[in-house]
Order: sequence, then C-alpha cells, then structure tokens
Amino acid sequence: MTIIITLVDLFISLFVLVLSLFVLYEDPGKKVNRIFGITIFFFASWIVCSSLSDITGFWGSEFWALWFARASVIGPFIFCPLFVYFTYYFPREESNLSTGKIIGLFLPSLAGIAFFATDYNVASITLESWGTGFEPGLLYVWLLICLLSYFGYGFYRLIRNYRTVKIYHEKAQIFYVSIGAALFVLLGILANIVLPLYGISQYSVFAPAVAVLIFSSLTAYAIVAHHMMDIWLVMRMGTIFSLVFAIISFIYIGIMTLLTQYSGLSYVYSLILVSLIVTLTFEPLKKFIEKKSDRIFFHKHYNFDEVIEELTSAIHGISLDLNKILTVSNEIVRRNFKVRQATIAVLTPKDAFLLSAAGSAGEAIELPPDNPLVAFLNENRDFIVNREDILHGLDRGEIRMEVDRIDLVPRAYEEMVKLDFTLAIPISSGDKLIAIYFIGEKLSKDFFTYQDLRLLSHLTGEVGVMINNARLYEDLKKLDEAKSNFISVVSHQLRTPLSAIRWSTELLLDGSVDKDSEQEFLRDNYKNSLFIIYQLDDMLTALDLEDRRIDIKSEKCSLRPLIEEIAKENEVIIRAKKMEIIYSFPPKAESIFCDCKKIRKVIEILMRNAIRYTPDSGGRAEIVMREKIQGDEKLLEISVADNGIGISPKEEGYIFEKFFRGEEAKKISPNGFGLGLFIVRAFARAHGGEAHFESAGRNKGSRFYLTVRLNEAEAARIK
Amino acid sequence: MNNNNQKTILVVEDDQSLSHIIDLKLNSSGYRVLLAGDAEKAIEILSGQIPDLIWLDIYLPGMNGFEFLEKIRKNDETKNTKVVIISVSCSNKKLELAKRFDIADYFVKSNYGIDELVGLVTGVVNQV
Repeated sequence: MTIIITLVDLFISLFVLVLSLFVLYEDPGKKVNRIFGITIFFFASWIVCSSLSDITGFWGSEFWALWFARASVIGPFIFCPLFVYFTYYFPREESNLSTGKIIGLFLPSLAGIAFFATDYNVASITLESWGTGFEPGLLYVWLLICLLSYFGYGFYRLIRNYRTVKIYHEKAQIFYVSIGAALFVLLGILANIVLPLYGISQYSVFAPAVAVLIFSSLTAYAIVAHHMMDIWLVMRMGTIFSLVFAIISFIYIGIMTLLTQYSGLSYVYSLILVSLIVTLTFEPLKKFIEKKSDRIFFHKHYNFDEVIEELTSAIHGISLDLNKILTVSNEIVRRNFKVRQATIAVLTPKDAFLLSAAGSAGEAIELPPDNPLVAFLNENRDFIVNREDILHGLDRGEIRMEVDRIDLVPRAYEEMVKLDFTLAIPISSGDKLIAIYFIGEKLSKDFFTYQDLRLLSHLTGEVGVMINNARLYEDLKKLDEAKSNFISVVSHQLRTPLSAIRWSTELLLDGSVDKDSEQEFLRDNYKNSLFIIYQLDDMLTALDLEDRRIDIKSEKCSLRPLIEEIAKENEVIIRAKKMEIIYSFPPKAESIFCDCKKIRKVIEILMRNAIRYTPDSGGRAEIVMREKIQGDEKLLEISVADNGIGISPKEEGYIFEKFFRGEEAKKISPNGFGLGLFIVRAFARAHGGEAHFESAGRNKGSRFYLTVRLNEAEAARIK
Repeated sequence: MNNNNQKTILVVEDDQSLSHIIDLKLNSSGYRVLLAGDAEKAIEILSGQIPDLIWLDIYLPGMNGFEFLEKIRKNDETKNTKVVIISVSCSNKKLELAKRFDIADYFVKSNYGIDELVGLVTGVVNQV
C-alpha cells in the first residue's frame, strides 16, 4: 500500500517536472517561465527526496533513509523565497530586483540550509511498515517560520497585484496561483509539521504532493494562459509523457523480472530481449496513448487538418467569387472555433477597409487608412491583434513601433473594443495589407489558444490568397468588359458620321442635289470628318499614354484667355442649356510654363464634362483658378465645379480609369469613350501635378481639380 | 393620311446630317417627311397626325427607340402604325425585342447606300 503511495508521489513529481519543462520550452526567454521552472524543480526535489527516504527505508538502509529525509528540507527552503521572487514577475514583470535584494531575500533560507546536515534537521528516523518516520528538529521550526513569512509576504504581494491589475484575465491568473499556493501551504504545514508533532508522518509527502500537483497545474495554466495556451494541451502533454514513461518502465521491470526468474535465460540475454521489445513497442504505444488522451481532452475541439481541408474544398468551386469566399470562410471559422461572429474587412480602391454588415452593427463600416487599428496593422503586418493581449505586445517586444507612435497601441485597443471584436488578423499580399479578419469572442468565453491562433493564421493565409485571386479576376473582368464596351461604342459612334459621309457623297455624285443642300452636305461632311479625326485622336492619345512617357513641351501659356476661348467654343450649348458659369481668377495671374496644348485639352475635357453632365436647366458651373502653398511648394490649382450628376461612392475609385463611364453619365451621353478623365489625370501627372475630385454623391455635383507645380522661376512670372 | 395619296413618313433620327440626307431623298422620291430629333418630339408629332410609316433609329438621346416603340404600341391610334427600324447595328437580342413590338423590318445603316435604303423602306410603305 505504502509503496503504491510512494510510487504515486514519484509519478506526481515526474509529471510536475514535465510540466515545468513544458512551461520552460514554451518561452525560455521569459523570466517568469524560468523562475517557475526552477521553483517546480525544487518542489519535485522535495517530493523525490522524501519518497526516496521511504523507499530506502523500506529496503532497510537506515543511512540513506536518514540522509534523504534530511535532504528533503532543502527543497522547501529554496522554493519559499522563490515563490516571493516569482510574484515579482507574475503576471507581469515589475521593476527588476537588485542583486542585493535578491541575496537578502534568500539569506534566511540559506541560513537554514546551512544546518541541513546537523541534528537540528532530522535527528533520527524510525523505519515503519508504511515508510520512514521521523522526528522534526528545531530546523523545522525555522522552516515553519520561513514558510509562513515567505508565503505570507508572497500572498500579500499577490493580493496587492490583484487589486491594481486592470486586465480581466490577469486577475484570473493571480487568483489561480493564490488558490494553488494557499492549498499547498496549508496541506504542507498540516502533513509535514503539525501531524508529525503528533507522531503521524505517513502523509508527510502524499498530501502536499497532491497540493503541489494542483498548484503547479494551476500556475502553469496561469503562466501559459497569459500566452493563450490551452490548459488541456499542457495536461495532455504531461499525461502522455508520464504515462508512456511509466508504462515502459513497468514493462521493462516486469518482463525483466519474469525472464530472469522464470525462464532459463541469462541476465544479458534477457536485457537484450527486453530492450528489443521496448524499442518496438514504444512508438505504437505512444500513439495509442495520444489517441486515447485526445479523446478525453479534446473531444469538443477541432482537428487542425480537417478544418484546413474543409476550407479548401468549400472554396474550391467558388474560388473567384469574392463574396462567396467571404461568406463561406466566415461560416467555417464561426462554426469550428465556436465564436460569436467572424467577418472580413476588405481593402477598397480608396485604401480604406470595408467591414461588411455582420455581427452586432448590422451596417457596413468603413475603416479609413488613418484609423488607429488600420494604421497599427499596416506597420505590424504579422501581428495578430488580440484584444486581451495587445497591450502586452510592446512589453514582449513583439510589436514594432516608433517611439513617437507608441500611442497607436492603446488607440488600436480601444478601436477593438468599439468594434466589439476580440481578434484582428492581418491578411497581406506581398507587402500590402489587403484584408483584416475580425473575430469575435468565443461563445464559451475561453481564451484563444496557441492552437487556435496557429490554425487561424493558416486559414487566413489561404483566404488571403483567394481574395487576391478573386480581386485580380474581378479587375480583369471589368477591364475586359470596359474594352468590349469601348469597341462597340467606338463602332457605333463612328458608323453614324461615316454613314452620313457615305450617303451625302452618294447623292452628290448622283447630281440630284440642289445648290443649297450641296453646300450643306459639304459642310456636314467636313464636320463629320473632323469629328471622326478628333475621336480617334482621343483614342490614340489614350493608347499612347499607356505605353510611352508623355512629352511635355514647356512654353509660356496664358491660362485665362485659354479658358475664355474654350468657353466661347461651347457658347452655343451653354446658352441652349441656360447654364450659369462663374469664373474666379486671381487678380494677378498671368501665365505659367507648361505644355499649352495638353493643359488646354485638360481644361477642355473638364469643362465639356461640367456642361454635359449638368441638368438641362438650372445648370451651374464654376471655374476657379488659385495659388496654393503646400509645404515649401507653390502650386496652381484650377478647379471646375458643377451641380450635376455627381459621383457615387461605388464609382469613386474608378473615375480616372481608362474606358470607365459612370452609369448616369452613360445615360446622358451613351457614345462617350470613357477616356476624358483618364487623359486629364495622365497629363496632370506628366506636369508633375495631380488631378482629383470631390463629390458629395449622386446628383450632388462634383468639383474636379487640376494642380500643377510652379517652381520659383515660374512663380516669379506671376505678377 | 393625306388627301392626295402622298404617303407620310415620320423620321426619328438624332443625327442632323443624316436626317437631312434622308429628308432630301424621301422628298425627291415623293414622300412627305416629318422630322423628329428625339423620341419625345416624335410622340408630340404623333399626337397631331398619324404617318404611314415611322423610320426609327434606336440610339436616341433620352428615351431610346425601344422605349418609344413600347409607348406607341400601347396607344390605340398608333398601335398598328408601320415601323421600320434603321440602326447602326443589329443583334439577336435587338431583333427579338423588335419583333415583340411588331415592326415591319430592321435595317442596318452601313449595309446600304441611301438610294437602296430608301427604296427598301418605301417598298415597305407600299406593301399592303
């Protein structure tokens, strides 16, 4: 019976050691993990010494029983101050203890250890049937005092931390550790000091060993949960390893005993045979135990490979439909991780992230590039933001942030709280952030474990690739559509004037036309030929822009008369539409250096659009020219505003693209090529400037800007 | 309908060069021509008189040719007026749509010289 207890004790110490190794392995760099490891080592050493004292006593060796009993006091003397030391690093590292303070902390213990070899420790032992009994000497009083003071102080520190700590799960961690430590101290004192005083020392190791087990498990969980690791994973590892080790040992000892005792084989041959058996059975045995323990510990968890498989096969058939990809992957994540919600925010042409209607809000939300969370993720594209943990990321050196931008971290945290998500996983393509996977909290309110994060990382990686492909495909389709549209539009557009030329020439050749009509036909033919030439010119200009650099022939260019000239050309239609046009020029602006023809074309196109896309009555346009200072540069800004069809948010990103026509624009002028604004922007940029626009939305008008640089030499010319 | 058996054709065409040519040719072929630059104008004209034939272009500013057709077919007076579509292009879809509105024929401009086209159209007018 007692041997079994002793063996159980040894098993527990082994388990606990494995646990500590595991915690150490999990993050050897962290001080708290190292301290924990060492503390556990001394716990284990205490149990081992006591157990060995029992075992050697059982085998009749008084000498070893005594010395193991004495040695068993070293462990407690060391893990007491270690516990206090531990509280300086848990749950978060406080200011470093100076070496002097550390020495001071351990001094009382070291003083006690100095006496371990004396009679003040265990003076004598008695070999009982249940193990080794002993009478505690004076040293045990000192040990009791140390235990109470160190653990008392440690508890005081823990309670103080509990009060000051703000983060929920840190409070939980402190709680676990405190409970475990308290249990240990109580049982330890009871079984090792109180009871032996009454002559009952059977439970000296067993009871506290159980407490050690509880304490170590709880603390390991607390430490490791800080890194979001699942307690079950830890338990599983510990169990498997210990069980395998124990079973192998059992087999070894058992078979050895059987062979040497009951068969004729000599010792050496038996040894070889058993070694062979062990080698062959180790792997299948380990796998068997792993599977069984998986069944116990993980029956409600997912299987890593299965989930990845599920995602890839679900996406397979719909891999180019962006919306379907998002819906399917969200559903898979929600179901497998049992979270409240999962949704993806995708990059829009405006560099903002569109969070589609999902979860609590129910409305689509757009996160602009200067949103703290977006800005943070753009700089840390491999960092999974966990709301529970992001504030620690800086401490652990996992976040790269410049000193003057450190405030982004708490702001990103607040953003996560506002959006009510727990995880934000960045998805990149190349070195650009293209989507953010937002995941809500687990229904069970558990933490996200390492397992979870690893799987999510894989999953989102896959989803990222699919999003990219779907996007590229969509862009290509749009481009293709636009090109087809362009071709058919060009054909239509050119057929009408060409038919007119053909038919009128036919009649002219017939000779069946009167003089007046003859003149008219000839004039119309001339106009139509010109029209065809200009349209083709637009088209060729646009095609050229794709392939070649644009040549800017700089010359002195008077903008004001240029604008007035364009206005005059459009006089007829302006009058016909009863449009009101307002001009606003700076008093002194004269001329600038630029490619006059190109700038003329730009203004022409902008004015042409303003006239064309405003209502047939009550149309208004405003042309403003003004100087702007940006940084240390002088810019000239020409803007053309109208109160016409405006630009809808959906179209905003495409307005300057080749062949693009807005829906409303198509209704008004179905034969346009969609090249005007493309040319505008290209010419603006060729001058080192830019073209952009503002619009309040559909039918709310728009204002187009052309901005060109004026360097010092040019600025001087503007009187 | 006119007293003296002169047939009237309503030409709905937005391109001015073209409509002028068509006007001239139809006139010299002995037809009375009404011109409309868009569908709205055409409907206005139709409220005053019913032509023997409507020469209809599809690509018109504002209301397009098909919408116009739909409208006039709903009107008792113009329900049965002969319509010929003269457009820059054709497709199966357009043909299907046109047939739904009961048109007499569909011609693509660039396939014919003006003489030939007018000949074909007037052929339709004179059909019973």
